[in-house]
Amino acid sequence: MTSLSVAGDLLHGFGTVLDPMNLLWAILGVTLGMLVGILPGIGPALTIALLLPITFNFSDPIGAFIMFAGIYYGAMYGGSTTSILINTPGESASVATAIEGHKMALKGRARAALATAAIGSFVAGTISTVLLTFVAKPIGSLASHFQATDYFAVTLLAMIAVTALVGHSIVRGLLSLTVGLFIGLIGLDSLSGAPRYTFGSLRLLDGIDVVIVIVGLFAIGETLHVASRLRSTPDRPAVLEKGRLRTGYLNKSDWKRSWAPWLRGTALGFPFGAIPSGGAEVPTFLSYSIERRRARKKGRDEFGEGAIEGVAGPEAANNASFSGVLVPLLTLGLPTSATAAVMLAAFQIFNVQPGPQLFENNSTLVWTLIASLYVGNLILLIMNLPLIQIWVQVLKVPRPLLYAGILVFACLGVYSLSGSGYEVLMALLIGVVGFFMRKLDFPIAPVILGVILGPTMEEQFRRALVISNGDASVFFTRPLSLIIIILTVLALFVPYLPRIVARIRGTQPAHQRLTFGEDD
Amino acid sequence: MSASEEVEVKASDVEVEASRLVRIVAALVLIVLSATFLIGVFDIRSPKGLDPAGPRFFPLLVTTAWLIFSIAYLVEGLRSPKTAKPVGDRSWFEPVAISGLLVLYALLVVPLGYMLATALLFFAAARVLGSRQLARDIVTSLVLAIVVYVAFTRFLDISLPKGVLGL
Repeated sequence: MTSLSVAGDLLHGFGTVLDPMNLLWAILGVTLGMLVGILPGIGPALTIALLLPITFNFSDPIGAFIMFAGIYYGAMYGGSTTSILINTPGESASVATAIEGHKMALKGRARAALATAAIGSFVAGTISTVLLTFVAKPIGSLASHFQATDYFAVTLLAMIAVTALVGHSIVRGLLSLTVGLFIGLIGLDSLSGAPRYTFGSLRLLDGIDVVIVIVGLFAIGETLHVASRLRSTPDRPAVLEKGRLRTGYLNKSDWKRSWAPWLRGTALGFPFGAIPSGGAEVPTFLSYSIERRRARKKGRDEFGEGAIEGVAGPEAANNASFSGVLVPLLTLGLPTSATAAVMLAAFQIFNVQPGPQLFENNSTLVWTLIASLYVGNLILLIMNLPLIQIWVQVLKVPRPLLYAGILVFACLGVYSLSGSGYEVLMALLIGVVGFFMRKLDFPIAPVILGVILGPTMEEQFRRALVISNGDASVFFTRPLSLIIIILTVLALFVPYLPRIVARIRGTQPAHQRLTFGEDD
Repeated sequence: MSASEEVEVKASDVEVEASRLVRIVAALVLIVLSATFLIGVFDIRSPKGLDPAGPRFFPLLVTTAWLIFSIAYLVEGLRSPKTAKPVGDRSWFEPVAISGLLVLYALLVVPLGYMLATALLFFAAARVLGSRQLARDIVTSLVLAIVVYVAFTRFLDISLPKGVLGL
């Protein structure tokens, strides 16, 4: 019964997505995502944040979300292209790809590396979207039994787990989180109407728009940071060995060596995306280390010299984790990575509240979004490989113009929120904070999660207390809430997962945290 | 092998980018801010109502946690080895100049109009960031400003200030 109704819902979704106008949004999204994502140092979260203003005046959110899905896929694949070709991963999730992928490119196998990344992404994206298709609605109906205490607990879990898993230091991660929570407090208290931390300013009564926080921290903070380093990091020209790119796609042995890593990467990416572990970073490194160990066991260890398995696995894991991230996002309204947090902000702009009711109230939207994932994946595959020579031209944009352009779009995004320079100043202020956070190696994602989830968490917490007449024990007497709270405590102390991964790989963990602030 | 080496070099670069002094100053700033906001909790109106936690509870929680973590961060900074020095020369001129440009932009975008202000912002930012091809910079800033203005006002119905050009 359920699988039949899922098929019907999904078909309906395909019907919407294949509408010519919506198809155009999907193609536009993938193109924009590729264009921006291929630029060194720019990940999906920043891409979506910069392109949000385009959708402000959409009368219908469906087109916007089709575009966002395309942007995400495009940006993700663009990021791996950059990693393979010039070894400048734009986000932490692409670091694993860069290690082997760039080696392959240096050996004249760039095409094969790009192809295994693209086909692997397609395979992983499709399989994980199938999983999402069948898992989302049941989990959503399970979540409809959630009470206020459970919501509070699960929100806390997401924030703490992501914070614990990102960054070099838990102290800095928690500081980022509290700053985010504080920003979320600014404005009128939703329950009592009391102004909090508005400092007598009328502007602050509405709080600080999350778009300002995202654009400030990601776009302006990153530009200021790059500006301070330009002298010491010369504008490295993106050298591309042109002739070598034409050495064909995957040969028979490449296929043979790629398909299993694709599937294993998918198997890692989807579940790790679905639990609050900070998105794609953990599964990509896990996949890398598993593939390397398997290759060693077989006595065919090319790792370090351009092993195709080391590209196929992490890329599949990267792509699969996105569908995984969508599970808690769509069913609980719970973002578990910076990119997901930006997506949630986009939902809120359109007054769509993800959560258990989403599948009832916005059935068309959610099924169209899921259908657009299938379509976006296919468009990506079709558009990328044959056109790779065109995409890499983007790498030739000089850095000063690139970052000046990012500033223009950042200003446009925040200005169009209310049409005054005030937002630009606020974004600058937050950008300066983001600049110092990068200087001092504070993770950015916990701030975004704090701003977005803080108000929800407080509301659920207070609602739970109202229902229980002020008895705080409700959080510990309801089994589900208690389990989630115990998991939260565990998340804080136990899982230095990336370090464990690093130990398996036998390397120092430090480099896994390289550019965390820029993406999920 | 060398690829992962290169990545690690960059990571250590990030680690020591801020000197010990900067971190201690940052910790002190965080302590002052969180303490101020912690005291500010008691300025929040807290009506007696059905809500047992009230509007003060979460701010109290958040600012207290913030203060505790700031102190932990200060301890971390004080304990760190004194030898850690920033690598490479980090310039303060560019970020300060870019911030100044954004302040000017915020003040001038309405009176000057979107196209003019944006073209000036792009041009000045590109120059600050080290672009040295005058003709290219001028052409790019004008084209970008005009394209964005036309695309957003004509096709996306987002209104942007006309300003002195009156277009």
